[in-house]
Amino acid sequence: MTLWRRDIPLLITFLTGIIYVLNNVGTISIGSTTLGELVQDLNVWVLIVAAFAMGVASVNLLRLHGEKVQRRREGWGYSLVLIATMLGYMLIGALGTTYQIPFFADLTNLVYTNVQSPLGATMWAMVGFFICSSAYRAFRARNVEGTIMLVAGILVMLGNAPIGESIWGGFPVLSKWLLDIPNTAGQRAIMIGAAIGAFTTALRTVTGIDRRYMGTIE
Amino acid sequence: MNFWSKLQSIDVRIIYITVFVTLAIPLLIPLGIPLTVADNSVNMYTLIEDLQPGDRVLMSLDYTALVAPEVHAGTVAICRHLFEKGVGVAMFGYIPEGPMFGDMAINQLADEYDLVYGKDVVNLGFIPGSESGVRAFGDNILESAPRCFRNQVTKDMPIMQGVRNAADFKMLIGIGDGLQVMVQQIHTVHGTPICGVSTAAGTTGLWPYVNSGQIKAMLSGLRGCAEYEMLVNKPSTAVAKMDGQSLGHLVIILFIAAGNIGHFVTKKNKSEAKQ
Amino acid sequence: MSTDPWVWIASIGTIGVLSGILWKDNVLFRTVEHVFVGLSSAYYVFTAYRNLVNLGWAPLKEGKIILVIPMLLGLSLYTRFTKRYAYLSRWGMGFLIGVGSGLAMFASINAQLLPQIRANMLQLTSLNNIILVLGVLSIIVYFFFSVEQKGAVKHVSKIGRYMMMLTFGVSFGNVVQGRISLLLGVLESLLGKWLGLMS
Repeated sequence: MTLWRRDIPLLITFLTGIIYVLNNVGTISIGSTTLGELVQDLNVWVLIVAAFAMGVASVNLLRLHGEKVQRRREGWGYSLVLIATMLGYMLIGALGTTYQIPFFADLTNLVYTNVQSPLGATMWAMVGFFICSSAYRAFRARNVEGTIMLVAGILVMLGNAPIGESIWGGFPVLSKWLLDIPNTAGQRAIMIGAAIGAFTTALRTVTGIDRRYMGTIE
Repeated sequence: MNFWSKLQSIDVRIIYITVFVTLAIPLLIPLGIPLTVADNSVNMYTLIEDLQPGDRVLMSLDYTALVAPEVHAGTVAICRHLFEKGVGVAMFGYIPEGPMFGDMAINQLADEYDLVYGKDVVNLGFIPGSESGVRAFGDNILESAPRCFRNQVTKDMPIMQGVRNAADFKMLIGIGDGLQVMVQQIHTVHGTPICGVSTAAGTTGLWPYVNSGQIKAMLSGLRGCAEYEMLVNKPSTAVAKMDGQSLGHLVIILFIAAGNIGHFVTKKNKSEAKQ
Repeated sequence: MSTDPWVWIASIGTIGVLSGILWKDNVLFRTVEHVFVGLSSAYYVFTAYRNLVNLGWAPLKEGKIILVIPMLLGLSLYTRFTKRYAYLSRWGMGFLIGVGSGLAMFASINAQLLPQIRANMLQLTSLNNIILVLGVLSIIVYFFFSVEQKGAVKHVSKIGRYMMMLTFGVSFGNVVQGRISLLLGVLESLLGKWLGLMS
């Protein structure tokens, strides 16, 4: 059973990883076809498998909330709302987008524009309140590092708002300089580190050293 | 508790209500704070201005409803500029909600610019697979998007004639959080020049790409969108919010200042009392 | 004030979410929270369904039998919900991870590492260039050198730490800008579209 459970998935990862790496090296022929052509075919496979993957989280969500409703656990009414909304919108969306039935297509757009979109936007916007209160409570010039961060943050806030320029014309110039020079240096160093990290992790994964994606299924 | 201590512990609800009211006032009574256009926005405008009628660009819409209030105005303003110049636009997105915003922009501008769907503009829809999906799309566009957002066959559309991969487009304009992926899987592979609009929070991380020339030009957040609205002479929702943006920044700075003043005066008083 | 029922639905939902920050865990907040999760999840599913029909099912019906393989790999992902065949989900996952890793190896070197190092190879003829070159090097020393931080290394590392603080400060300023923009978007819907108070 190790073959099915461990070796085949490792082989799939190794082969696909190597094919994609070699494809970027140059034109490589395999019999009557080239690696580039093979990758073209695999690209479509990627899109299909990835589309399947998008539903996994939703099935999990349905299972969790379905069980909550079934066992009448605390808050099961909300779970029922979630399941009803989810299944209803799935049906409306499928009929409206894939099958382009005009009534459902309009309804999909209306639900998105007037329910999903404002709810999402407001939830994310609420972070604005939290940022304001946490900045007030925690953003203190307690030491040199804190002071540098505080001053840079305030200069950028003033430089990025039109009123900053009305107060003093130097604010946008300073803000732009901070973005252009110190920020670029900082982010570039992070990017260099992240690139090395990403390469190493990818290499470990393709070669089967890192197998975290296989989870703990036995 | 004296005044300085109180200054450090204002109730969060007072902070929330103050922020809410401060932002609402300039929306109701505009203050008319002058807005100048920064070099970044002019660079972006010039890049698009240099396109010729009949050219085609890709537009990747990689944002959800969560950040749409920050960047969608940029989508509309840039589309206006492109349609005004007669440049064909092929939209897509690797975040599922992105193409929905593309369709909103098309519907909003269709009558104004007499757009013919499939000839002047097409929405190729959502491309699954994140970074791998973007690479697949860039390598073979028609095969990755056989039908558009409106479920029409794409290979027969006039705008898609002669299209094989991302290199067949003059430029890729990325809106939202996808610019890094576009640099990695489109620009690096096919050489297509990239520009776009980033969320304000995403701007700092993307700036090294602007500095290295991998991203040709970039607008940052709502302010960048407002500046672009000014450049295309269509001040709209982004410009209308700039007074609120100003007061919002000021009120946060005042709260930070209050917290710091309270902290230092209390600390000073404590050390004096010890002595 | 708007007479469009959809605008009213949007506004009640918005108020429901906002109510969560003043009165935590109220019925309206929890209801709209669950509605949002349900809708977002459904949106993903019907979008993916359309992709599957167009990219997989339709060509398969036209005779592209080879597409059975990715369809099966995709379906294998759902075996994780069974106890007996859960291991099969590794096949589909292994495929996606393999492609992602192959692409990441290419992108991390060719789109990030080399272009960024190249862009930082600057002549030290201006103050900005000096800050960029020394800034990147000092941050790398601060972050990556696992040697004891003393002597020259300590001083360079300290400069790196200050540079990072400047970077975080710039990020903070930008995050504030973004969040204020989002709040303005919410207010615009309430005051403008719903109440009709904006000119």
